[in-house]
Amino acid sequence: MRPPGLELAGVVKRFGSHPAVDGASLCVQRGEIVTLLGPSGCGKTTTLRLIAGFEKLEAGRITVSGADIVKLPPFRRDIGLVFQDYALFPHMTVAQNIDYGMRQRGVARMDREKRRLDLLRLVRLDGLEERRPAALSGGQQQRVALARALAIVPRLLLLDEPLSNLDAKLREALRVELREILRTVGTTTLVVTHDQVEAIGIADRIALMNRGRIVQIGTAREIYEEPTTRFVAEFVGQSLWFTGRFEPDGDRQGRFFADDGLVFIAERPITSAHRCGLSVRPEHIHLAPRPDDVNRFAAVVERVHFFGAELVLHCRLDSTGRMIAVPIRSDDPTTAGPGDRVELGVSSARCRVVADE
Amino acid sequence: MKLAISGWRIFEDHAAGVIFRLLLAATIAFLVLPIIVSIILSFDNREFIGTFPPPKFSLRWYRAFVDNPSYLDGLVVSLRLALLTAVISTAAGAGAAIALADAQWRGRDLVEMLFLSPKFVPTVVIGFLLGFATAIHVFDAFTRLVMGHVVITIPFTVRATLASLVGIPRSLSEAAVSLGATPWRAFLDVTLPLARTGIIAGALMAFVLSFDEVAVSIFLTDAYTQTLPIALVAEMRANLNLTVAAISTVFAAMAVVIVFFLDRAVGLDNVIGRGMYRG
Repeated sequence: MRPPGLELAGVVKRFGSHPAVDGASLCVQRGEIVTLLGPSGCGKTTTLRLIAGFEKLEAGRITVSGADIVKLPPFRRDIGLVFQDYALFPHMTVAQNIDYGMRQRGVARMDREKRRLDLLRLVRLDGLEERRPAALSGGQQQRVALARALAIVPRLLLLDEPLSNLDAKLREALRVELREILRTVGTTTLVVTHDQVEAIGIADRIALMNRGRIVQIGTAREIYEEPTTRFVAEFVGQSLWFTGRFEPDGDRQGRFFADDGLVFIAERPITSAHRCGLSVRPEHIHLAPRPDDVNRFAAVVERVHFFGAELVLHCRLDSTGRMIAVPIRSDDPTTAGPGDRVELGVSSARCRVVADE
Repeated sequence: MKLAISGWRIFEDHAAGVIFRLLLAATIAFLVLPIIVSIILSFDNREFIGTFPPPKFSLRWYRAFVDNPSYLDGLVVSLRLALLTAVISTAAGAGAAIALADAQWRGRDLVEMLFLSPKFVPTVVIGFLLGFATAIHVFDAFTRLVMGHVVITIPFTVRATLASLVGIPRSLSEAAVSLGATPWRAFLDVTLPLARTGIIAGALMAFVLSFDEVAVSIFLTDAYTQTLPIALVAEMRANLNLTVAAISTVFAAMAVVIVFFLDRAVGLDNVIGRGMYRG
């Protein structure tokens, strides 16, 4: 079997006594695009800088296609890096920016020109060779930065918050385009971001990072539907959280006793953590319970908020008085108005018992 | 409750605008009027310094300037001195600034203080100390002058370079390194060109400061090696006449020419204005 495109094993980096990266492990297959997703301060940027070689590793191993790169200085790692601020050389033209890495490698002029033209075509910037970065839009600058990083035929491509400096509309379009380009190139890619939409839109798999560790790796769907911890459930998408304890009842199911007195029938968790809780996605709660919605709670609608495609009903549970926001499609015929009594239902499969960490 | 902006506030605003404009006009007048007066006086035909304006004009004081060997010698010394000072001070100052901007090594702040300290010590004190130190005639007067002028101009070249380095994002040199450039190569290709305006500004500052420096030079010159400002001071003490005005006019004209060419070459804003990296 071929070695993975990128592998981190037990990577540690401290700043003073504060561990920025605390034993992170990650495996990215060759040609795969993985995003490192996490809140600010979780250590994802430090991880990226460790891979690029701008920070010194304290413990652990980093290999690229099987080769240990920790001992190599950053200029010999052959890793393409796209910075958050793009870091285009302002005193050089687009062509000079793209050529820079090839010049360092002594690539002949003819080959340089050919590769530059190919790359410019790939990122759809042909004809802008002689422009200075300041004369380009944010989206164009980003694509120049990408072309410059790809020009050195990197073994690995690292992108640091690639879309965060763009305005919302442009971000949408560029996300799709970026994914297309990365697919075409086929380079192993690690994208660092704090934006889950960005992470889901670009990557094959998502690695969730929290407090210096990678807490879960999987496809967007796996992460969303099968979170293993409270952090994952709450960081990706919305989640209702109940602390309490789980008591098995047969092989597959059991009862979850929430601290506030609610009792849920839930599937048996994978977690063996001492402290656990129950996570429910709001959209899995139905206003008109379906046959398999075994958990049912009486409630009163207090407010209704209109969001175009969606309505959000704020319902107060009779038993505990807790407010629960239930989103439904605005054309849903089963909608209710303020003051109406409703029954909220959720199936046992949608009640996930996960570790409270 | 009253919500409208009162008339007094609006009046206040207008008044502030008028006062600022008057202050600006007064400042310009104070700066420009003496220059105009000395330019006119430099063409005075009278033997003595008489009432303004002069009744007749001539070039006699310009002739006196050209005919006086001590002025011309002084000019040559001053130009050589200013040029050499600018070169040495810029090389040392920019080098120091680069080391200071880059790293977080121990004692960094102390070294920065050391480089900037000549700015805060009266130049007369520096001149005295240097004059005292070299009183034993280890070096000739010109070498002494260069050393003294480098000391007093180095804070300016350090500051100017530091200011332009601070504006350069670290990611630029890191980008160069990630593309395969050694740190030294990245410095030459990226950092140095972007800090250029600051370095040039520092060099110009060093040149100008050295060229019209008096306080330090007075301790370091001797009878054979005099800078132009020192020669002027000596001449003014001995017999005050309008040669000084003629020389001032020549320098003012030179300054205008230099500013003009600088603006054409690099843009004046870049040199004296922000003088730093702009993305």
